[in-house]
Amino acid sequence: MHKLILFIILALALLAGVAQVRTAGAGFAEVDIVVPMSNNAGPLSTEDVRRIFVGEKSSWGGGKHITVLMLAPGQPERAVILREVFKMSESDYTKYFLQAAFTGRVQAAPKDLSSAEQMKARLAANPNAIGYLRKENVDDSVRVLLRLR
Amino acid sequence: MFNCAKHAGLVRRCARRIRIFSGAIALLLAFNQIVPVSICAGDQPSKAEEEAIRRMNEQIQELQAKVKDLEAKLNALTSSIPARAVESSIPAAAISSVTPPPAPPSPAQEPQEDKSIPGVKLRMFGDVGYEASNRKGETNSFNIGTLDLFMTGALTDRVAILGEVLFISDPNNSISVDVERLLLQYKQSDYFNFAIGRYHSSIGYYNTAFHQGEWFQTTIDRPFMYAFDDQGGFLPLQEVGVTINGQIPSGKLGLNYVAEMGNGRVHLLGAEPAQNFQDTNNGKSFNFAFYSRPSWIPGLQTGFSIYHDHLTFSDNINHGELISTAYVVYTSSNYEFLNEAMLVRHTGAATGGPGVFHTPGFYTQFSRRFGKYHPYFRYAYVNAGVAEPIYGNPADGPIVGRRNGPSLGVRYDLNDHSAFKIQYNHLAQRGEKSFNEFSTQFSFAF
Repeated sequence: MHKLILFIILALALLAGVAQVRTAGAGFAEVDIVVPMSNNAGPLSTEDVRRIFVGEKSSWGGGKHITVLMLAPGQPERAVILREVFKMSESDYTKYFLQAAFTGRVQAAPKDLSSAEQMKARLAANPNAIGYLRKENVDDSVRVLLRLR
Repeated sequence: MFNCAKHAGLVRRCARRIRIFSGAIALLLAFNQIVPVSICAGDQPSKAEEEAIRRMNEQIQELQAKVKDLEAKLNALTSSIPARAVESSIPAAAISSVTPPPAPPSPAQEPQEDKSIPGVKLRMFGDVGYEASNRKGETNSFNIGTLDLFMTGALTDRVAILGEVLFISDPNNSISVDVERLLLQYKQSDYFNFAIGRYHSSIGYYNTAFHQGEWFQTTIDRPFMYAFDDQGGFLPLQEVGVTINGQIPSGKLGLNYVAEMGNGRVHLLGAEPAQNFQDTNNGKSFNFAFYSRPSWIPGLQTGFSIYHDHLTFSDNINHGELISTAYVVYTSSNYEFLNEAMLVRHTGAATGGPGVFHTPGFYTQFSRRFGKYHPYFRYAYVNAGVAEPIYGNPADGPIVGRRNGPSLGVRYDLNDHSAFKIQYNHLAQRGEKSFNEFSTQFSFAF
């Protein structure tokens, strides 16, 4: 009997530990998927955003080509996008787009930008672009389509 | 009756159990507290760290202000000097040596980029290796595999060119050049894409997932059924014709289609696989493929393809060819599990009389990633009959026959663009002594 009790305690404690670890690991600053204010696209689901970012959905409702913008490797927002949207590591991302270009599915990987300011400037210049910003960097020039918390 | 000794023993056992449970609980509670705290440690900066971050923020703001000031001065300067004067007065060397800091493009700059002359993106893939086997008549050798120059260029938003040129080392030690793919692509939408030219046929999964890039595939070589013509392959993996493909609106099912019409391939195995300029008959090859990538199981893809063609021999004997494939594959960051099966049906005997011949084949491949290491296992099987009119006549090229055997290996990713692989093959063939083979390969992609 005592072995059973010990086993139950062990299992519960481990479950609690795993749950805490997952909760702690999931904590990140909010990153918002944004488009220029001139783009009238509606709210998107995480799956919609994934399809756009991996190149499976390449045009907006009106047929305009979607330009995906990414922040350069090393930026914390990019790490969130890779984890929550692409569900890939940086290496997987590189390989995915090399292979996608090789098969002819996409022309090239999304453009890498060095800062949030550059992201906003690019978004302002191209009404068909989509990118992402940390919540603190979101301003009136962009519209949020999805919040990744 | 009260038994003192028995009672004391019971108390001791209880106390022991309580101590064990207490110890276990204490240990596990400590574990539960320590692990999350260690993970969150980076999220809770100390006062000193906060002060350092605050100082860094101030410095960044100062620098940003300086950059803006300099940009404003630079813009004022360039606008006051005529463009031609700038071009003529600054030596080319000075232009190349002074790289301006990257600045965000203004809204006016973006359209200028779109109107510029279309550029070509060039990528390079290749591999070199070493191979040794105990097969009779073979010597251990270093080898260069294929140098692959891959080009893409966008003519407009919807029209693009894809080109792939291979430099292949042949068994006779010469290097041959091959236009592997040349496609004019038109992308109407995600549901309709059209291309014309030379392409890799969408038979099964492997052929269009990995193409000629050795770096993309986990193993050193391709499964028997997807071997290219110069490596004993027998399926029509390259075609000249038109291909359309796209998604089928199907929600979470993620359905896609491919339809292809081409010249088909010549009947002689090992010869130039695609009829690049002239078809030997008026009948065209047709290939239809459907596959699903359900969004609720990321990484899963399942599908089938059906290919039909007529092969015409030089003595005007026609053979019908029907190739059916089905597959289930699962790929993720850590796992790769590929399973494909095929059945080739040829009608008409070699003498021109009636006859039906079936050639089955399959492979299964499993790989698990451990950091940079990808150990893998594959088993492949193909069985073409002795009387097979296309695959069994030595006058028409290498005999396919029965081939089966396992492959074991490890891939090591040196970085995001290169890999080293080591592989052992055991191959059994009908009418020949089975043999072992050891191969290594260094492959890269840029």
